[in-house]
Formats: sequence, structure tokens, C-alpha cells
Amino acid sequence: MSKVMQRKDRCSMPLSDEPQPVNPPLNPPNEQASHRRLTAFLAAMAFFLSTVEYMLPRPIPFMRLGLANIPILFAVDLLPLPWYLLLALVKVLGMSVLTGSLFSYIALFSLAGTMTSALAMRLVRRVARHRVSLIGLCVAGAVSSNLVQVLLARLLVFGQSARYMLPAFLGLGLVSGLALGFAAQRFSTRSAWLARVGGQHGQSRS
Amino acid sequence: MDKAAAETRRLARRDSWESAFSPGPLALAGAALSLTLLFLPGLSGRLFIFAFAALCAWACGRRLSVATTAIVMAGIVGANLLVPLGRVLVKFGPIIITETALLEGLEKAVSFEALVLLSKASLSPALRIPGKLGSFFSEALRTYERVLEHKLSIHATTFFRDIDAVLISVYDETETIGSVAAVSRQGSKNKLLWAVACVGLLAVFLSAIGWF
Repeated sequence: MSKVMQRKDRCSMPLSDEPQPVNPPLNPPNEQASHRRLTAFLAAMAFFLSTVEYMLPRPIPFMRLGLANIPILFAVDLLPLPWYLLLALVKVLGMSVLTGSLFSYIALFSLAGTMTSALAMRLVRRVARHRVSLIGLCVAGAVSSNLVQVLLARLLVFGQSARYMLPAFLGLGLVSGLALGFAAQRFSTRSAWLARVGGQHGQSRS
Repeated sequence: MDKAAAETRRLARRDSWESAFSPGPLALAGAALSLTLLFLPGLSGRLFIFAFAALCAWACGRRLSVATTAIVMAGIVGANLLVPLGRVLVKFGPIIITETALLEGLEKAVSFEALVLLSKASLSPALRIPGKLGSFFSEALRTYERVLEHKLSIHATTFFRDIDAVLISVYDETETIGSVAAVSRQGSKNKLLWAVACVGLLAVFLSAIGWF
């Protein structure tokens, strides 16, 4: 049983005052439509979190927390692989259009980092199943994303000097991964929405 | 007071820019100029495009930070100077500034920021992407707009609780959005224009990663 399914049982007190509807598992004909709806919804959530992060002050221009990766983290347990990858792609595309960076190296860094992080989290989940928490998944995603971005920075921007940045960027990845992972873990144990969506999609993972 | 006046002027510039250019052709122009920048040899041509891009980015009324741009550029030049390359120009104790490293650093810093400024000037949130991916993207954007409508109901003290309530409320609304999206999934009239844009975009990425 997936973590989201277990979470549904743990979440004994709904956060909303409204009664929580019980959703039966999806019928196969509705499955694609439902995955499409959830993927679009998670992408919208990523755009929103990206906007929130855009408004937060950054101590260093390159440093960011990666709030917009939280929907991808939840999607590990909710979406089949093709929809999961589409979510990662649309997240990059949407953020690049909304922040106006599509034709810059930033979009390329974002694409490489997001796709690597998404694949790393999916791989860790597949190999370790639920022995790894959302915190572990998030750290794996953040560190792999930063590693690929430093490699890309070596090729495109910083040259050989990028090796001096590697320890700092990996350290930042670890810290931001832990912070995001804790936030996501806390949210996942309390969220009535996630329990409800998990009930529908948790069984249809690839 | 000055800040408010500056903000009003910025919004006025944004409105004029958006009414003067359609999002599709503007994005195409941005992609073409980005390509030109990447193929330009030497620093002078890139500096010219950088100056033009800065002017466009200012005129389009997007938020810009001169300090952030300067810090990023200084960081890129500084990082390139860490590995000495070419003739020694100046020595400040342990810091050695070499000619080739400095030129390469400046070229990379100018290109990096010019691409950012070009993107800011040429990409509008109103840009619609063609095809199935485009219709899916529009669906996500519509949902995003619904989420934004609830932003005032999210408070720092009850952040998780508020977010959860918003998610439940908007997720229920998306059933309606999905059916509207199915109706709007129609072919674009400007297929050729979009094909050129896609090829340009692909070329930008390929040239950026050094494939040609």
C-alpha cells in the first residue's frame, strides 16, 4: 500500500470543516482524464509556488529553495511515469514563460535540473519503495539536480572554475532538500486534499 | 511617493508594450535574436545586443534588478578569472587577472544576461503554445489563475491549513475547467509561424549545449 494510502488512514481530522467525500478508485475509461486533470492541477500548483518563491528575497542570485518541486515530489506516488514526466516538462515551460527566461541559459539549467531531479526521485522510490520518506526523496532530487546544474555551468558559464562551486552547491542542495522534504512530509501527514487525491490515484501508479 | 510613481510608469510601459506587439511574433523575434547572439563571435556584437536587450526589457515594463544583474555578471567574470588563462594583465597579491580568462568571462557574462533580458522582453504570459502540449499548458495556466484568486485566503500562521483548503476548493473547480479545455482544443491558424518558432527554439537549445 502506498504512503499516500496509509496517510489517508492517519489523517483522522480533516482540516476543512466541510465533510470529506470518499472517492472510489478510478474506472479505466476515466483514468486518462483523471491523470490529465491531476497533472494540470499539480502544474498549476508548481506555477503558484514558483510565483511565491519569486517574491521571496534571495541572499545570493543563484540560490533558491525550489518550492515548485513540491508538486513533483507528491506526483512520485500519484502519477504514472508519462504523466509524471509531462508534469516536470510543463513546470519548466510554464515557469520559463511566466518569469520570462525561456530563451536563456536559465531555462536550460531548469530543464536539466528538474528532469534529473524528477527521474532521481522516481528511481529512488522504485528501488527503495517506501523505506525512503519524502525527505529522502527530496534530498536525492535536490542533490542530483544541483550536480547536473554544476556540470552544465562548467560547460556553458563558469568553465573549469565550476569545480570550486561543487561542494557549496551540493551543500545547498542538501540543505534545501532537507528543508523542502520536512515541509512536504509535514504537509502530507495533515493534508485532506492529498489523502483524497491519493485515494484516487495511489493505485494507478506505474 | 517616488516608488509609487516609478511603479505607475513601469505598468504604463508594460501596457504600451503589450498593446504594440502580439505575443507569438514577439516570441519569434526573441528566439531569432537569441540565436543571433549565440552565433556572434567576439564581445563587441554581444555587447550591442546586450544594450538593445536591456533597452527592450526596460521598455516592456517587466521587473528588473540592476543589482542582481551586476552581481550575476561579476560572479561569472570572477569565476572565470579563478583559472588563469593567457597574458597576465594585473596582479593584486594572490589575485592574477589574465587576458583570455577576462575576455571569456566577460563574453559569457554578457551573453548570459543578454539572453535573460531578451527573454523578459519577448515572452509574455499571454503566449499560447500550439498543439496538445499547448492545450494542456493552457489548462494548467487556467488552474493557476484560479489558485491566484484564492491567494488572499492564505496566511503565514495557518499556512498548511489554508493551502489545503484552497487545494480542495480549486481541485473541485477544475472539473469544469477540463470540459472547457476540451472545447478550446482546436488547431492554430498560424501553424507555419509556430513551426518556425519551434525550430528556432530547438536551435537555441542545441547551440546552447554546443551541438552546432
